[in-house]
Amino acid sequence: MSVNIPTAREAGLVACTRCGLVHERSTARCTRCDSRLQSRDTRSLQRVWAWWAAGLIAFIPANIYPMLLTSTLGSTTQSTILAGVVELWAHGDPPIAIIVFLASIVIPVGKFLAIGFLAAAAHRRRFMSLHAQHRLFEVVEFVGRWSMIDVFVVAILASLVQFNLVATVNPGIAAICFALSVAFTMQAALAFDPRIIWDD
Amino acid sequence: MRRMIQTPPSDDLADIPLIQLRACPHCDALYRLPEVKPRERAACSRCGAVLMAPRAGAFTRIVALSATALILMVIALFTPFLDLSAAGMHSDASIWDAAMTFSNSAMTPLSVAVAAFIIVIPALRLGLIIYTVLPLANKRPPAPYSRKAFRLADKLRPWSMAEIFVIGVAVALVKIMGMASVTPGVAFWTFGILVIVLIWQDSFLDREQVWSALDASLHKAAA
Amino acid sequence: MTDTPPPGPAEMEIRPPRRRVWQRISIIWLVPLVALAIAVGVAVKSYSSRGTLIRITFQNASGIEAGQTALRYRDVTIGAVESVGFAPDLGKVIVSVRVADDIAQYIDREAEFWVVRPEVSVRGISGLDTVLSGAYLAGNWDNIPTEEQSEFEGLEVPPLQSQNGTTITLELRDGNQISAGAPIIYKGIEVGNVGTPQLNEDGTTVLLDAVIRAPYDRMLTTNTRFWDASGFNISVGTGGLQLDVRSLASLIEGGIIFDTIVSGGEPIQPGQDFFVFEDESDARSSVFTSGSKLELPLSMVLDGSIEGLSEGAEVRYKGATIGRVTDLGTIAETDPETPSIRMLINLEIDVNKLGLSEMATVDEARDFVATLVRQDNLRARLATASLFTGSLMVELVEQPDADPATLDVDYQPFPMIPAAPAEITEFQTTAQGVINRIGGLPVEELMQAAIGALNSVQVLAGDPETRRVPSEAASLLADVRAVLTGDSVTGTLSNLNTTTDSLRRIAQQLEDGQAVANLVSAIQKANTTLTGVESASVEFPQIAQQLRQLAATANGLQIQQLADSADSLLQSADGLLSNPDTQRVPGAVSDALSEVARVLAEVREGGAIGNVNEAISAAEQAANSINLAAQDLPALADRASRILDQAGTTVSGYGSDSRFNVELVTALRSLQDAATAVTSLARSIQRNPNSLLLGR
Repeated sequence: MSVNIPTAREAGLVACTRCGLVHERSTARCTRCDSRLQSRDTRSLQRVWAWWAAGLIAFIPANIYPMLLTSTLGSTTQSTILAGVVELWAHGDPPIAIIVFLASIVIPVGKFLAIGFLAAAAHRRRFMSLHAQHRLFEVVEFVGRWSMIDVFVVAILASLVQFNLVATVNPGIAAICFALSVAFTMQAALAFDPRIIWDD
Repeated sequence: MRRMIQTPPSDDLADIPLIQLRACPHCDALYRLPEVKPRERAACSRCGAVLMAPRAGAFTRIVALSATALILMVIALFTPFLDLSAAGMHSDASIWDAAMTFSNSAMTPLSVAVAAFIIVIPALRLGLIIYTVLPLANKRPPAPYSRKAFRLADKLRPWSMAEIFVIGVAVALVKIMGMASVTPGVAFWTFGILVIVLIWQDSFLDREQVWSALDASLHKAAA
Repeated sequence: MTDTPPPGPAEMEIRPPRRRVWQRISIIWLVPLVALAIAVGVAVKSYSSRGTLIRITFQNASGIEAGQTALRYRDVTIGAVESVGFAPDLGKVIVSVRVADDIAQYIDREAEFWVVRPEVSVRGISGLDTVLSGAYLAGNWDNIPTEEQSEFEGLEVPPLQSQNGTTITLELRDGNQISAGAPIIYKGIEVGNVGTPQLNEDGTTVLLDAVIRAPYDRMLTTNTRFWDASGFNISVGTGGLQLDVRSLASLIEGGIIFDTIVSGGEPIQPGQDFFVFEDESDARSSVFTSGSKLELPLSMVLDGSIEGLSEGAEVRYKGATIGRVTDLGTIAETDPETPSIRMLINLEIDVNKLGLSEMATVDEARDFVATLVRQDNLRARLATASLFTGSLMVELVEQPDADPATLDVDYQPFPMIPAAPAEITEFQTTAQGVINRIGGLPVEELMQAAIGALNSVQVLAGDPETRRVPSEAASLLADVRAVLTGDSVTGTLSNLNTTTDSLRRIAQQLEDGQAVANLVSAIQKANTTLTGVESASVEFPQIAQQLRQLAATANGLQIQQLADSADSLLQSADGLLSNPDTQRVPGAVSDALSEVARVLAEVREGGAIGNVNEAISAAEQAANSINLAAQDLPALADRASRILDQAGTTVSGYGSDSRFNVELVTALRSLQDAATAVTSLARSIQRNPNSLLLGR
């Protein structure tokens, strides 16, 4: 049920996004926390799309190039993210395979889709209710950082398995691409002003 | 216990001093600042985002837990993290080794980033929080640049990934466990406890509480 | 300004009561305090249990990594390399190692440190795990904690593991075939190793440190001799070809064998010096001589060829080896009238083998030899060493009828001993001579005669008449049997008896009468009858004998002879009797006997005797010549067999069960085993590389 709740914007005021304090429209900086006050950023969506595109561009090499370079007794295997998941599954470790699959494939792709959708549907209520959109945003915001798991896994493995000839694991180029992709989408989510969902 | 706070619309809006008004950062709904008792949470009626969640004695606890976390981090950095042995061969890694592993290949910036995510940024946040909250806990005027400090701590919050690192380590261990025997070192357990302490500390940290306290003592100081 | 009354007393400021200390401080502070306590505790513990730092210097630090390389004692990791640095003059590398405290107390001045790296030698590959895991430092010290030391000098080469054995020093003339780590073998088992060969101070001999492991070091006494068992020995001698291969390791990298030759030696001190002899016989014989190897050098000059003589050939006196040939060369006689090139042979005579006392010097030996040359006409000459290979040796012999000569002590380079003509048996000519003699034997004629005799015998035996003898004898026997089984036998016997009695009486009665001729004819008639029933009675032999006697008196010598021949024919007919025909024994024998009767009848007619006699004498002649030939044959066969034996032992030396083959086969087999092991290891690694990592 929706009660007509006034927004600060409607009341001619502007609220600080960091600390919640309400100010006169014309105030530039929050009196409490000194962050910049913006009622609505007209360019925020542009920034969102920019970060989103950057994240998408970085995501492609992250899946093409190998994430892990394993060399056993001189023979090197390169495995991409997907290959790593398949290998984990085949090796009888389904739970971990699922975790990695979720973290490295499902979540990033989902984030792209979600942020894209949110940005596109920002001013419209077409496909989802406002509540649902807001929920989606909260989920994206929370979940975004967890995609970094894969990078940390690579870091740990590569630092531990250094046995000269017998077994050596080295990180592949996909690691930095993936990290960039995650960082970019995180930034896209951060740049997104959720208030515009409710604005229409 | 959540209580939805509603404010009647704008009639007496002009009468209410601005200082008593709050708006939801997510949906911009306007509210009057309520009285929230410790352990109660005030949420936005429209979008459900939690706006206030004060705790009693929060500041002292925050400082104590942050200090604990810092000490634990120091321990975790300087003790062995993981030990791998397979077929008579032996390899060990510390947290720093794990972060620096990318610098062996061409991905040095990633090493810097990983080190930041799991060591630098969490430590920095803890320091900033202690810097800000300690005077408040002792009911003294806030330290200079407290506001900037706390704002930075708040900005860095999404980038502190210590707990994600722990899950990552768990995944990696499962991957290797079948192949070799891994012995966790002191740093491993310490880091786990560190993450728990961080989560605990986070539950005490209510932005509204800190900002209000900062504001109040700043005004008091000014007055 | 007006005067104001002084202000009243001020109000004191009342502060609220302070809460008690523990009420003021929240319990939350326990958490950081605990954390701090843990941090400090961990720091203190890790610092105090760090271990002691020791520094070891090496020439270079290959394979040593700071923070990684471990220090192991008895294969247990007890410390790690902390840092690697240089000595102040950059001449050496200083490796700082942190050792666990409980072990560090045992590291004293006698501790040794070295780097374990993979080593590939013919013994095998050692330290292979260091290829995969990196080199490590190993240390060795005793378990008696003495004064601790922290600066050490590292060894470049792993030392001999002498913890549980005795160390001795071995001296070799030539270290060519011994390599470091070669085994020391006692009665076929490996009981120790040698270290790295080094030259002694004046570079004349090669010194080796060796360790004999306990409990075999108890075998060492002062009477123990060592000899070189490197490679393999092939010798060709009177025993044939001999191959001696000890073990695969000693085949390639050398080995030293020892044995305590005689008992009664004294126990040895660690570090005792032993000389390593060239071969077993040298070592064994050295027990009876002293260890000193004083040599008396001599020369001899010859005309003629010295082909077959080589350096190292033996010098013998009455069959015992007393020295060796050291050098062969030529000397030019530059006399303008008779320029010639003569052969110069340098010898070396072992002073002790001459039988002089242990204290004898080379000069004394030389004088002794000079005396022998002068007084006993001792000369040197070439002689055959091995008939088979044609190699020569030098022989010192006394030649009583030689011209007097002396040892020319001033000859350069060595005193010259006068030479005597060589005593060389040419195997080739000897062999050729034997072959010629064999060729000269009239074997073909012998063979022809033998063939002719055999032919005649065969003709005789193949004669159907002869063949009929058994069957006829058998049928005669059947008839006789029939007669024997008849009731009239006893009657016949009594008749016979009475006939004989009456014949006697008649003979007596007719003594005066001229009935002798009648008697004779009567007897002859009775003869025929009797021959018919010759075997009629059980007393057949007696009757036969009587008959023979009668026949003999009647027919004389020829019959005897014929009977003898017939006898022998019958004997050979024995053989014939064994043919299926003679299964019907009675028939065969009767046939034979009837034939004999017929022959006898013919004999009576006096016709066929001559034929038979001729046949028999021909057979006799044949038999004789065969006999003669047969008498020669053994002697010939003997000779041939002797030669064949000689060749045979040589040939059998290559046979399938000979020692040569056995040795060769065992050596090849161990090579094959080694190769198979390496192949299977390589294959399993290839198939499953993880197995190295997982150890499966």
